[in-house]
Amino acid sequence: MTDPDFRAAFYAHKDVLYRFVYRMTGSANGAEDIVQECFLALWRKPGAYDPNRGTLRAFLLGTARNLVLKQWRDGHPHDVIDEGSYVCGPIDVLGHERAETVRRAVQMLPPLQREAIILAEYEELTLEEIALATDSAVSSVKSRLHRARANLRRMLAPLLEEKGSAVYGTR
Amino acid sequence: MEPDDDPRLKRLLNEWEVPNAPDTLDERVFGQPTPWWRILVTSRVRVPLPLAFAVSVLLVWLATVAVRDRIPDVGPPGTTYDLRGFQPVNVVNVRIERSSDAIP
Repeated sequence: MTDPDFRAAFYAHKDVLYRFVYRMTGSANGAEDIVQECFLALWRKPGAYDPNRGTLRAFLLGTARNLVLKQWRDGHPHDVIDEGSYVCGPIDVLGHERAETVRRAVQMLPPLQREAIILAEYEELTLEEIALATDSAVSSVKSRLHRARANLRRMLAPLLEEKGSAVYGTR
Repeated sequence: MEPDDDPRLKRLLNEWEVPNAPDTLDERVFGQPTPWWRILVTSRVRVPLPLAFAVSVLLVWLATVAVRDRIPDVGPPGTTYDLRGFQPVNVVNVRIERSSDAIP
């Protein structure tokens, strides 16, 4: 990979990686560290990316995802990462900004559900791209997304049930 | 069972915005801009070994020629010495003079 190729890849994908890691970890500094590590890994071993297997964006998201999960495992040595049966209850929405409540709800999801919902809802990746980035089967991604949405509906029920509230979609 | 494509949930989720990558990330990945003088001092040029050898030989030859052309002739013309008829001394009579014997 030449220097111009690397710069083009960096400027094309740095924001999507940063937003993904920021939403996964909730930390701006942590996101910067991990995204930097992703691009340094690409620079050191450009051969690790095989264009026949998918897009560079999916590859970089996969690298970032692995680093995030490694960090999560270090911080939660006794927790199971694939907590498929985890059911989130409603969260306290009083006295909190709506955006802050949504942030808390997303970050309460188990990691594999969280990454699926972030990649699908915020970064608008297809099921196939999410499967590639997370090294999972498409059926697993569908299942995680379904559980994640069910958990989010439960946690955010008070906000979803508000009548007449203006909710504008922005990114 | 609720549908997976739920516009209300999607709109609510999108109320949580996060910023794009900060400029500090660019600096962390690419480093600070390098000053011109450091580029001059630390730049490297890759040259094939045969070419480097040929250039070195050429430079040495040019330096030799330049130095040879600048060496002046020793002494002015006509100051050569002819040793014909030179007779070496047969007996060497050495006389040591002490300082007290020195002629004032």
